[in-house]
Amino acid sequence: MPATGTAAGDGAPTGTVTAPPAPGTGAAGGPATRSRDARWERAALLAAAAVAVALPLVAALDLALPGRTVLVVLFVLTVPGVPLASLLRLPSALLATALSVALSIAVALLVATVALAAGWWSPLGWATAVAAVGLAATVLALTRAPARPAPGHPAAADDAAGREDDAEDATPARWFWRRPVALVALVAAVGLWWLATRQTDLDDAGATGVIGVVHWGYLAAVVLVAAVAAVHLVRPRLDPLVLLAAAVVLAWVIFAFVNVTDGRASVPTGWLHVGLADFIRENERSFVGLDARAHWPGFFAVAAQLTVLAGLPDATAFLALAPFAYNVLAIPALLVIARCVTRSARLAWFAVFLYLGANWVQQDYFAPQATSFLLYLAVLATLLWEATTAPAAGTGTGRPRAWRRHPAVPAGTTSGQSLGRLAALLVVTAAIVVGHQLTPITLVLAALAFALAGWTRHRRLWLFAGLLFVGWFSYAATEYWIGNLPSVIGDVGELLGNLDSAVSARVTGDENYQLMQNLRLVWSALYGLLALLGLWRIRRRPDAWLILLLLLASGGLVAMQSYGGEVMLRAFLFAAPLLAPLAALALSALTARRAVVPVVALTVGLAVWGVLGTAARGVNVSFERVTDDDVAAARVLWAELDRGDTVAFLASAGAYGADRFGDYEPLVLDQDFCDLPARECVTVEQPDFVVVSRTQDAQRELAAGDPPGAGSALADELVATGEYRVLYESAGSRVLERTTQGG
Amino acid sequence: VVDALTGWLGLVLIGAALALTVALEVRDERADRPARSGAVVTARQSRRATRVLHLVLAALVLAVLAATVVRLVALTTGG
Repeated sequence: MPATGTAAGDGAPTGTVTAPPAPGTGAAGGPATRSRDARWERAALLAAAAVAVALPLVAALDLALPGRTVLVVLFVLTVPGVPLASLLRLPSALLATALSVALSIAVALLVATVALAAGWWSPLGWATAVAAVGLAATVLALTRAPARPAPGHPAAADDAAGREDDAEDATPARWFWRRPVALVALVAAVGLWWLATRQTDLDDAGATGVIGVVHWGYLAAVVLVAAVAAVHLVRPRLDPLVLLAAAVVLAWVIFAFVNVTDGRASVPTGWLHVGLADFIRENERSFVGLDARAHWPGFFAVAAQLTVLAGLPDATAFLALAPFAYNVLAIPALLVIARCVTRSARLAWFAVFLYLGANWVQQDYFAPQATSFLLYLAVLATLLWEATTAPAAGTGTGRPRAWRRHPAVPAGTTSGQSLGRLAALLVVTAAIVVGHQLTPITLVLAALAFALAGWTRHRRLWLFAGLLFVGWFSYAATEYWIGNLPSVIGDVGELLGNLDSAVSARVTGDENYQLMQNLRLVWSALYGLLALLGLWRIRRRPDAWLILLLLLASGGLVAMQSYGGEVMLRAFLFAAPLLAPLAALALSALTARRAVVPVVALTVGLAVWGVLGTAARGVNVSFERVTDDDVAAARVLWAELDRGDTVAFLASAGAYGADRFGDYEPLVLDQDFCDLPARECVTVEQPDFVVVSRTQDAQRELAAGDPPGAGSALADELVATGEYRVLYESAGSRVLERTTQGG
Repeated sequence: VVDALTGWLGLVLIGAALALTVALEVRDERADRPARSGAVVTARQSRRATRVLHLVLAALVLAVLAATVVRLVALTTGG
C-alpha cells in the first residue's frame, strides 16, 4: 500500500514510499553486527550481575564507599530487568534497554508495595531477594544462545541507525574527524553551560522566568548542541554515538540548569516527596490519613528503601539530577516509538531532539508520575514495536472487524517469546497501577486503542489494567475515595470545565506572567499543529488510525479529570512521545538534504526549539526553585516545632515538606484555604509558626496578583505587634514563632 | 450478600476476572502454535470453549463493576 512519509533509507528526500516493513528498515545487520550486539548483551548481563552481588554486600556491611548511591541507583535500574529482558530474546536492543529499565523499576515498585502492605519492611532482605532472582535469570540468560534476528528482519538493522554508507562519508579521514569534532563541540557546550550556571542569578528571575535572566553561555550551549545534532542528522550515515551524546548533553543543558545554578533541586513537591519517603522509612508504614498519595505508596517506599541501602539520611540526594535522569532514561523507548511512527532512524533521532526541547511540563522531578511515565513509555514502545514489525500486521484477509484481528508475531520471534513479552507487560502494568493514580487511566485507553484498531496480539491488556485499577482503587484506596468521591466522579464528562480549569483559569496574575503562560499555550498549540501535519502526511498508512487513536487516548484524560487544573499538562505529557515523531515527519524536509543551507536551517530550528523549551519550562522558576535560604529556614523550623503545631505559609513553596511530615498542621494563608485574607487568618488561627520567603512572595505576586513583598510586609507587621518573634532570618526567608506559644 | 460483595466476594470476583483475562491471553498465544494432525474437531471444540470463556469473562467483569459500585455507595453513605 502506498504511503506518504519519509523513506526509511534516510538518505532520500521526503516523498511517497512503500509502507511496511516499519521501524529501522535499512541494511540488515550482518554477522559482525550481530556478534557485536551479543557481546554487548553479555557485557550488560555481567555488569548487572556484578551490581546485584555488590549492592547487598555493601549495604549489609554498611561500607562507606564513594559511589554507593550510584550503585543503588544502578541496582534499581538494572536488577532484575537486564537478565529478564535478555530472556525475552528481543531483536531490538533499544527495546530491550527500555524494557530492562522498566522491568527493574516495576519489580522495585511491586516489591516495595508488598513489603509495606504486608508489614515485611526489610530493605536489605528484599534487595537480596531481588538480587537472587536477577542472578538466577542471568545464569539462565547466559546459558542460552544470543538473540539472532533473521537476516533481513527489520529489527536486525533496528539499532544500526541507518548504516547505509556513501563513498564520501565513509572515507577514513572524514570518519576519523567527524566524531572527535562533534564530541569537542559537545564538551565546549557543557563548558559554556557551566559558565552560565555560575553567572546566572536566579534571584533576579521574575515574570519572564529563566529566559529573562539566563546568561548568554546557556544560549550558546544550546546552539552548539543544535549544530552538532543538525550536522549529524543530515549525514548519509548516522552516527548513533554522536547523536546519543548530543541528546544526553541537550538533556543535561535543559534539565539540570536550574538545579545546578541554585545548588538545590527545584519544585517544592519533590522535597515533599522526600518527606513522604522519610515518613515510611521511620514508621515502616504508609502515611494513610495524612496525604492522598498514601494509597499509591510504591514510589515513596522504593525511595525509602534506596536511602537505607545507600546509607543516606534521606532522599534529598536523588532530587537534583532526577529531571535529567528521567529524560535520558526515556530516550531508548522514545527512539523505538519514533521509529515505529516515522519508519526512519533519522527522523526518530530528530524526534528525540524535538521531544527533549519541548518537554516543558516539568513532570520529571522526583515523583511517582515521572517514574510511572517511564514504565508507560516502555509499554507503548513494546506494543508499537510488536504492531509494526509483525508481517502484514493489521491487514488481515477478508477484512475482519478490526478488533477481532489477531496480528502475527513480529518477524523472527516466536509465540513463546510473545508470551514472555506479555508477562513483562503485565508486570509493568501492575507496577503502573500501584504506583500512580493517573497513569493507569491513560494506559487503559492506549491499550484499548491498540485492541480496537486490531494492532496488538495482547487484546485484553487494557482489561487487565482496567480490572487491576478498579480493584486497587476500590480496595487499596478506600479512605481516599470515601473523602473525595464527589470530586473524583464530578469531573467525569466535564470536558469544557476541565479544559477551563487547566487553561484559562491558569492564565492569571501578573501581566508579563500571563504573557509567558500564553507563550506556553501558543507554542504547545504549534507543536500540536505540526504533529497533525505529520499525521496527515502518513494518513494512507494502515497504522495511521492507530496513531490517531493513541493521540486521542492521551487526550482522553481531559474528559475525565481536572486533576486540580493540571490535566492538560498530563495529557500533553502522555501525548508528547507521539507528538514529537509526528512533528519530525512534518519537518522531515529539514533533514532530507545534505547542504549548508538546510544544516543551518536545522541548527537554527533546533536551537530556537530548545530556547523556547527553556522559556516555557522556566516560567515559574521564581517560586518553583528551592534556595539555600529555603532549606536553612526549613531546618530551623524542623528543629523548633513540636508535634501538633500549626505552621502557616503564604504559598506552598520551599523545602518544608522534606522532614517532620505529619508532625505539624500546614496552614496556607490565603482566601481559598482560610476563607480570610492572610492577616486576619493569622489573627483567627494563631499558627505556632509563620514562614515567609522570597519564593512564596514570588508565587503570590505572579500567580495571584498580590503586591510585591506581601509576605515580608506581613512578617514585619506580625513582629511589630509583638505577636511573633523572629526565629530565623536571611535574605530570602524568615521563620517567625508565636510569642504566646504555650503561655 | 451486600456485605460480601463490598468485601471478600468483590475481591474474589476481581481476582477471578484477572485470572481469566490472563488465561485467555495465554490461550490466544498458544493458539498460534502449529495444530496437530486431525485437529478439526479439536479446533471446533476449542472455538466453542473460547466463546464460553469469553461469556464467563464478560459476566465476571459486569459483576466486578456492580460490586465496585455497591462498595462505593455502601462505604460513602456509611451503609
